[in-house]
Amino acid sequence: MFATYLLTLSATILVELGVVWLLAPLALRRTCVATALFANLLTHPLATHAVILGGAGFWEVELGVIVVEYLAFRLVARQPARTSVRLAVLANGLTIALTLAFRL
Amino acid sequence: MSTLAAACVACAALALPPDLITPGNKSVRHELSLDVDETFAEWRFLAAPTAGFRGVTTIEAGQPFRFSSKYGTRIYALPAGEAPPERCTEEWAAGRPQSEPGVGEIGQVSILSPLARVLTRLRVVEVSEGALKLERVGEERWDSSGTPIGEAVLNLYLGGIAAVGFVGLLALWLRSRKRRRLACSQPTS
Repeated sequence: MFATYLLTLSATILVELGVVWLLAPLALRRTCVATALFANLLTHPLATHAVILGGAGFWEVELGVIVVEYLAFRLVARQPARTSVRLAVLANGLTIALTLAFRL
Repeated sequence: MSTLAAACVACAALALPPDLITPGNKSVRHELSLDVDETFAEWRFLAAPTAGFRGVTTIEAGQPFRFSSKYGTRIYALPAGEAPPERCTEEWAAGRPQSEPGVGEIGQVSILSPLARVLTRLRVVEVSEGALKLERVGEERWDSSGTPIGEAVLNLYLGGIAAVGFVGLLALWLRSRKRRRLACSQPTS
């Protein structure tokens, strides 16, 4: 089961880093991508635990993930609020959509 | 138009009765089993809902049986020689040793969850006049292929990865702060 989880985590990180790479300001692209990487390493396993083992609601947990990643872009990558919202929402929105598309 | 359609689906989902699967979720088969010590050999045990139209289930020791939190499944003890009723009416149940399972039914989980089946093991602790005491012994979970889902090891791995993420963010934040301080401390020409 852990091997499957690692595949899921890797795919999520690839997709989110790709989105951040495309949308982040040019000068701070590397910082934003590094922030996105560590933010996903932090939030993805916690979200997995909450949903799969803790029985928490999927949408509530995803909202929490978006909030945490927004804070990461704001506080760690020092991005303006609008940029942080855009990066967090679009990156996670795409992974959510892909997750649902593959599961359904 | 697609936003309106999505909003209508969301509103409809909120209004769904509880035994239907919420969109984004899937059903889980949650069963109980009852361990019965030979001390209680003179008793037989039944499971029956207090609501709805389903009948009585005679519990075989150690064998899984379905239950429902929504329909208020209760477990009853009756003498081994007594025939089980067709329905456990209030009149029949009055004064008999009985108990709620003490387990909340896991009826549905997120479609992202690998969980497909749950078995909660109970044990009979005491049977006395009007009272039946049960104890939860353990719980096992499986995915759809029948592979057990072990929580402890998975938690360890998940916690380790989350810790790496946290340390990474902290390191990035400290580096960013250091650079800002250096930038502030350098004299402007």
